[in-house]
Amino acid sequence: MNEGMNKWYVDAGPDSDVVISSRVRLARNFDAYPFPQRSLPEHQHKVIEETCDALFSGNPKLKDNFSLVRLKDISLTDRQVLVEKHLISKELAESNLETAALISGDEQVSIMFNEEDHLRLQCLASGMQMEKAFDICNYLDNLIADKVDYAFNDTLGYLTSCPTNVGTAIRVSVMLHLPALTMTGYIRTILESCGKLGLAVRGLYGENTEAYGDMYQLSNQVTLGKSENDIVMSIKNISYQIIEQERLLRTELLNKNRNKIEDRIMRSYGVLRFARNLSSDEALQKLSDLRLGINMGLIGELSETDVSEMVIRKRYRPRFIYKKTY
Amino acid sequence: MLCQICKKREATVYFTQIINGQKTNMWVCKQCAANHGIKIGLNSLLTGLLGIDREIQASNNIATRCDRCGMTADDFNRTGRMGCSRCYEVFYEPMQALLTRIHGNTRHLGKTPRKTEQPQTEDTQVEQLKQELQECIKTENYERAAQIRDRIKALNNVNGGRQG
Repeated sequence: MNEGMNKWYVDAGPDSDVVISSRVRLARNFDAYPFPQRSLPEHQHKVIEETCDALFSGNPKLKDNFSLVRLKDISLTDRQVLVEKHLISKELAESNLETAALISGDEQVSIMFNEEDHLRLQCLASGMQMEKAFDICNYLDNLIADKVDYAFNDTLGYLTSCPTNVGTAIRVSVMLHLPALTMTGYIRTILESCGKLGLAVRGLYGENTEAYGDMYQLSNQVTLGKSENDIVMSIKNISYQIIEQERLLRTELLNKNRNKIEDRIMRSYGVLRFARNLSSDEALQKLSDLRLGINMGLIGELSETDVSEMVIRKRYRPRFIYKKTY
Repeated sequence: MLCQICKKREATVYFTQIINGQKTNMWVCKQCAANHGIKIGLNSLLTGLLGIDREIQASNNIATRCDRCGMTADDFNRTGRMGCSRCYEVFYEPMQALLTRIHGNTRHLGKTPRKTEQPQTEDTQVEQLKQELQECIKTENYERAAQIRDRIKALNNVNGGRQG
């Protein structure tokens, strides 16, 4: 993969004090073949081949930007790295079908082949940039649709393996860093109201994971009966309400308990710098404090993107922090 | 938050149960969830929701197997996954009921793939144009609104001509 290329997370993006990243995912299936679980290996190969052809024939520049990774060709460790970078799902890494992923050099875009659906197009962007992520997905989707007949029905929209994705087959999500809401316990009320509004709240690594390091992923559940734009806008609106709450609380915490907050943050910074053994849970919690400290202007020598990079690339070993600060 | 069943461990599972339209929400820990047979994951929640009873279906001469990929209603009830695009036609009615329960809606309102735009009926086109018109009026984009209005008029004329 293009290791030298700047990755998407080196820019902080808008509203980066609270919003870590935005993500849009489209699920698509070929009409010609049964969905992956019921398809034959030759169908699965065709899906990969025909998609690459649709995207790259007559578009050599695009081709240079992507690398095709066949999961069977790489080690378990390498698959794990792709999962941690959110470029492929755990399910894809563990699948025994002919799976592959097209990954862009900046690691912003990935297309998963033969996961639950034939195609899963995903785009990540730093901070609050859902529209940007959607535009990129949309562009690639149109390129493919020019050459491939999708499983699509006028009434039901895009047909997917799981009925929960039918319709727009879009999943819009935003990763929020909510330490103040978590610390004060207000987060519970917020999570409950999100549930009532039809939004799913998950931890850092998607479905069925806990909220490590005060990071919460908000995403839409309903995909049928709303346009893509409506879905993006509703997630965005709700996110901004939560973001405002988090900001207010941070200011209040700092005004009322400056000593306590500063102490907590600097302790965490100390642990990250000098500890020799950290479990990933502990590291994520300390990194959460560190990120808060950077936002509050307590730690000038590091930036939010340094923390994002450490979380995403799992490089939170003390040595890395040394390297960043000296 | 503590688990609402054992009241000892930290709750990690938010559990919603809907029985006959009655909704109950609970925060429980993983152990209690397992002990009470609450299976975690979307798959298990969907299972059985298609509500196809094989015997009733067979006696009423309703398909229980997709003629293209071979998926049966039992397969769906077990996995929560459809087999191919044809399954959505074969299991049309139970699927409508399931989709209403999941999404509260059974009509797609979003993007269509470029190529299928052609065979789209005038009716859905008019519907989409009307929505776009509303948005243009909201954003005071009157130039585009006028274009859309003319397009709707043209499409309605086509429809009217056909009916007459």
